[in-house]
Amino acid sequence: MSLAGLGTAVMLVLGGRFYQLEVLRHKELLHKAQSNSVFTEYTTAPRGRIWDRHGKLLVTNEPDFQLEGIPFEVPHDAKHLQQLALATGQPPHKLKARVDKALKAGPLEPFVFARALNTPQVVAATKLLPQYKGLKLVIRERRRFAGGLHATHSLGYMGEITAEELKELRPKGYMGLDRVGKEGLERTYDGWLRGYKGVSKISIDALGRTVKTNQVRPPKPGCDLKLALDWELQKVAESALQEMLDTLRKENGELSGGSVVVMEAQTGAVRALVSLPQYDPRPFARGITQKEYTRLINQPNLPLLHRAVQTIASPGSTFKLVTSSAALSHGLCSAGTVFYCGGSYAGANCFVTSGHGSIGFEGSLAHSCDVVYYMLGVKLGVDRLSRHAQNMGLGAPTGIDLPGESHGICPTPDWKWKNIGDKWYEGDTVNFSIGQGFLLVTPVQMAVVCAAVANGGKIVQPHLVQQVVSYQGRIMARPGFKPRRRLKLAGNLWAAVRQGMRGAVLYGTGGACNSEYVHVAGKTGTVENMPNSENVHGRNHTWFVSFAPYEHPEIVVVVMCEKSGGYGGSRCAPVARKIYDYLYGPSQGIR
Amino acid sequence: MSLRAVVCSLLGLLTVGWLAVWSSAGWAGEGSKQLTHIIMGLGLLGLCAQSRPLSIRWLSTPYFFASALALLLVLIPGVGQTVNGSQRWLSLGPLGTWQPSEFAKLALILMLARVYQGRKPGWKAFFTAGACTGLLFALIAKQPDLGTALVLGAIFAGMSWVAGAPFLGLFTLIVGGAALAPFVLHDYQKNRLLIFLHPETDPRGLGYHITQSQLAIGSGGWVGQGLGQGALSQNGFVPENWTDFVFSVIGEELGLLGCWGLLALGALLAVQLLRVSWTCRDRYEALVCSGVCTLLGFQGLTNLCMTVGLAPVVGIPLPFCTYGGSAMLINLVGIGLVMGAAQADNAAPKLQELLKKTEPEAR
Ligand SMILES: [Zn+2]
Repeated sequence: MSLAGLGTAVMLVLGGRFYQLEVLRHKELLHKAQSNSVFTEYTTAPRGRIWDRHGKLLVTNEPDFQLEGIPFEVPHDAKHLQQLALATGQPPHKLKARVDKALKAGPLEPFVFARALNTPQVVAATKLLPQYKGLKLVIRERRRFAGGLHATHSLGYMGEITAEELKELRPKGYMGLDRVGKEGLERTYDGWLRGYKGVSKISIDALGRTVKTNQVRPPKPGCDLKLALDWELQKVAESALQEMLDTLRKENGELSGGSVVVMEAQTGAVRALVSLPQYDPRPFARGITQKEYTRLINQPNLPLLHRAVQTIASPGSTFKLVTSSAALSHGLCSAGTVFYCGGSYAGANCFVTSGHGSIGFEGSLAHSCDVVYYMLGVKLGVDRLSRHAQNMGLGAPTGIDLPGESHGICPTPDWKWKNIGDKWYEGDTVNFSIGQGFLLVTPVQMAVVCAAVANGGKIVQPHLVQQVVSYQGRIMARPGFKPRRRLKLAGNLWAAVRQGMRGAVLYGTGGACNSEYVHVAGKTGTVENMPNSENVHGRNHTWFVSFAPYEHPEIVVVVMCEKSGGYGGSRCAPVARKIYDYLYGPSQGIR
Repeated sequence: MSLRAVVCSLLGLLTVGWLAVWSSAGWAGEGSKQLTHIIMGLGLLGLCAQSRPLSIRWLSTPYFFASALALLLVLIPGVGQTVNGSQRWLSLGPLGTWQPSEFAKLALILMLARVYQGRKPGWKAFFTAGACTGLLFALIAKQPDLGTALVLGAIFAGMSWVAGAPFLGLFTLIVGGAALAPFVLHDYQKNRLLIFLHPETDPRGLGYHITQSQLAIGSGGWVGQGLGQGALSQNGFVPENWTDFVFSVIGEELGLLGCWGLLALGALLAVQLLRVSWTCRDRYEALVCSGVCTLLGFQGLTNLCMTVGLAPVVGIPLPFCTYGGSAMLINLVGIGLVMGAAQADNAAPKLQELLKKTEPEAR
């Protein structure tokens, strides 16, 4: 019958068509179907913020509006570019030149027409979007220095991840084009600050259209850093040192750098860390150009160097803290020993060439008599002195939470043989005992040494970050909370050294730091230099290491000036005094 | 008609269809709602199967005009709800949102059966039937809903043919309609109809739908990717694939065997329904049965053809599979009417056998 026949025919056609599609053309269609694909998109989490010890916001994020587009797709005739240039506040001829260059280099490569747009520019650009095909406004995040440009070396900056970094960090979830901390705390704590990326599955069909977006995991914001840094104190320390450097520049006619470490004597929490000159980190935040970077690294005063942790120099007489405590601990002298300085020892002169005559242990530190320490150094021998110096933290990184910390050099005969290719002479020991010669230290290492004297032998770990706090407010880490080790020396030995330092401030070389508000104890250091290419006049480096209050030490202040000329007592001690005056004076900065 | 065959094939179709909707749209969305529709529909089916269609013949006219009224209401701005540019839905508040054009399909079947119930329908009956169809056709075409309008046309043609209406009139109407279509239709509508021949020329519109649907079916293979595993069905590559293109989900996830199975179930059901409409003794009931057969058969075959690229894409759902409450209820009620008619029919042979038994005695 005809209806049955018709029905059967249609059924057969349909069944056959199914067979054709699903069996005969299966491979072809499956292949095409798979060119519809699901992509995983990662969204960067909001980066953690950085706060000072009093809850002042130092570093946060701000949106960075960029106008991006495919140069070929965006109308690029003169009239349109003129409009675009006006909307983004750029000189039209410059934008045209850039677009022309991009059109030649890669007309289909994404191109940034303008970055860091301000609000009126964003509004103007938004109005342009509908008429410009292929132009889009992209919102990224960048760092904003909410507290102003201070401590820039310590806070650090971010930059695009390099191929080598990526190779190392890929297992931890880092990806190409990520921005990572390049310097300072941004780098040390990058893993905490960055949080976890959000994951979305995006279905893209064969035409490249987004069909469906499925958020698998939302981004998890990074942890905040609560610093031990005291922002107001940081500013005071920076301006105090800057004033001194300005004076030196007038006197010497050359730029020089310097650094200040203000640290809690008992815990190693860093209250201020100054390295001058500073650089402006904002170009790094928005993406520094090669030209700007080259200019920066070619400056003779090395603004990128974090002097407090990266400069190594001889400690000069401040090393006498080590020599004296070594001699005391080995019983070579006591707080009551009286020495005799005749002005020179074994061919090496005292700092006061006429000699100090009879001088007690306290006086030897207060007046910084070299001859006493030549004698003590030779009596100790290089091995015992070197071991004690190492125990106090020299020749090794202090473990401060900043990248690129210098080790310094704590010389031994072995070291000299390997590196200089010569044997150790007694003259080397003589030099070593007053902190000259091969010995090289960083300011932060001296802060640890001074803290050990002040707190009675605890070797603290300096740390800028007190707490790493998750976005939900949980404390995730407390870096450097515990001291690294404790030296087994009788407490009265340390008291003897402290007494010497107090003497230096009261009637000795450090008189310039005799604050009226607090009893400061300190030790000056003056490093004589031979003229060389970097230091053509052979100007002295100067040091001042100190702590206060003398009776119950709380704060360690180390000041160091490069190529300053003069003496530690005249160059560095006044800087330290300003810091103590701020902390303990009428402003009561500490409380 | 075998009751068991009808129940088995119907439940089979409902199960496969629901699985496809559930797999592509999920339980929380359309999956659970469709299950409610099925249960409600099966309830109505049971109700209808209890009695003969003849007993509700008086309803035909009021139901028809109620449908026409509902279609009119839909067209009033603010009353009808617009989706994708055409007004199709009527909201009844807590009672859900319904599609009067689906109810109109059944209304037309009942009305035409009443018009044609006379022994030999002449020109007068034919024109009455044509006018009834034309009224609903115009109201639906106005929405615009070309697919449903076509279904109405098919019902009219099928039932007129079964009723034995004047062949000349039917022929003229079909040929005339087909000849007139190019002049009546807008250019975009013609393009839409013909796009299935070259889906690649419209990669961003309907052609995209057709291509993606065929890709999905083609990637199924013999046994399919597995329920819930279809890469295209699950990731939204076939847009709204729980509606008219639901078959692409079956093709991708259940494979050729699933497709053939669905076809076989449909064929089994069709054969059973057709059998009832042939054996019905009452003309009204026979016409209702043939109308239901046309409704389901035309929609099913057209939908399958458009899904696999053998026919133009017009919005015609796949009965028992495509998501939608109105269509599900109407289709199941249709089956219920046929089952009611069959029951009455089943009762009749008993009487005949009784007569046969008594005949020899009478001789
Ligand atoms: Zn002396």
